[in-house]
Amino acid sequence: MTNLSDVLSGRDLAGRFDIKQLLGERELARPFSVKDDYLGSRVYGNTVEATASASPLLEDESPFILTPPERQSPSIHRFVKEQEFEGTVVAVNEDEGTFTARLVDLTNNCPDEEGEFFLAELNGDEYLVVPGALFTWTIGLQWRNTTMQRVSDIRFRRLPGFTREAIAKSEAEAEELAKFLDEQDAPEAFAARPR
Amino acid sequence: MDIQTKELDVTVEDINVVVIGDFNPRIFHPMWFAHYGLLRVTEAEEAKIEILHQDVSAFAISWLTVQVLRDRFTVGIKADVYQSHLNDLVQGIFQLLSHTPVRQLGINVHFRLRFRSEQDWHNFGHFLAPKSPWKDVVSQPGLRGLQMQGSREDERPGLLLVSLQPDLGKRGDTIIQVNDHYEMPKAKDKQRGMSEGAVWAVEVLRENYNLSIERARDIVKYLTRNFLAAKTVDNGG
Repeated sequence: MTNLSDVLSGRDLAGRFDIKQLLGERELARPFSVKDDYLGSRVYGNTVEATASASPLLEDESPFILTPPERQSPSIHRFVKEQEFEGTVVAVNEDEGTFTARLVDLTNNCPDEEGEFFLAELNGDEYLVVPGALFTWTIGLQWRNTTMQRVSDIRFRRLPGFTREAIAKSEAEAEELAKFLDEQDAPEAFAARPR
Repeated sequence: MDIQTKELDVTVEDINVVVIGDFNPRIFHPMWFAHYGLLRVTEAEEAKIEILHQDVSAFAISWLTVQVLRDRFTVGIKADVYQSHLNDLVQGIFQLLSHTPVRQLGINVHFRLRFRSEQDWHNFGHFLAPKSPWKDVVSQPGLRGLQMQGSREDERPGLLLVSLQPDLGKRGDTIIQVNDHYEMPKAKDKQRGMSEGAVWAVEVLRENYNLSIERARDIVKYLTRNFLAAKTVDNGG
């Protein structure tokens, strides 16, 4: 819009200005769009998935629309795993500053192993080390920003506990199953079965 | 047109979880995550904070990015070795914020397909979108994007959306995104208390997250395997 007549043409029939439209056309306010540009391409970056639809709330509320920053990329942008284990803590040996774990090899179909690890190598996950705790142990090539290095990464799972609703749902399903099995085991059910 | 396609490289480019609901971005400070044991304290201290504001919060740690708007929550990783930790994190957050109204949930996986030759790249486009129907409409038709929607095979409301786009910035590369989209459960489930707040989303993640990512991998495997087995494609010629 470059002159007054153009601006006036932005009025609706009641003579009000459509501020959003005016500003939008002057590119002073941009509608919010989801950009995944950090994925590495500006070409496919405008793809909007169903769960990533644009925010109608922000667009409708104000002509001065907040355009959030593009999501940045985490510094670890690639990790080629050479070996991956899922570990379960078996015992904690506090005197020696170590813990023992059973390891399931997720890369090769090898039998489970047992290993001993130093608590000091856990980078802040030490408090999670209790018998039964799960962790991942990944060995491979990691690209962090512009550097590539071989790493051994142990990271404890932060599995949330079961919610009351989940427990209630499981109990309801168990009851349903028990009832079904009871019905199947009832003498009349046996009698009704074809021989 | 007869083709002889060479093997292609497929890598996971990004995995992210998107939640649509009503959020208070200001609380999503890295130290909030550390306080509740959702992230390591050292990682929270070293987080690269982009913005912390009442309307938007965005930060990154070495393996993860977080962005929260008033109506939209996104966390993503690039390296798929952290996929189980991503799930733990999102479940942990919404278990804490269980009363947060959540309407939609998406589990998204982006794959990068790297073809050995530009011709293979074009052929993949011809394979997915035959060009004969287009040959008298536009000259030299080429696939710039494709979306295919499928219904869910489980009982949950939602859909599956597969999107494909060539990466014109890196000729020979194509991105496939699989969006596993979940809607808030309907009234009949409300009676069971499963759709209040964010509880339903946590349950979806608990039951479906790994399956969803495996399904995404299977979709890409299926498409590429059929393409590699194809002997001809329709290039409109």
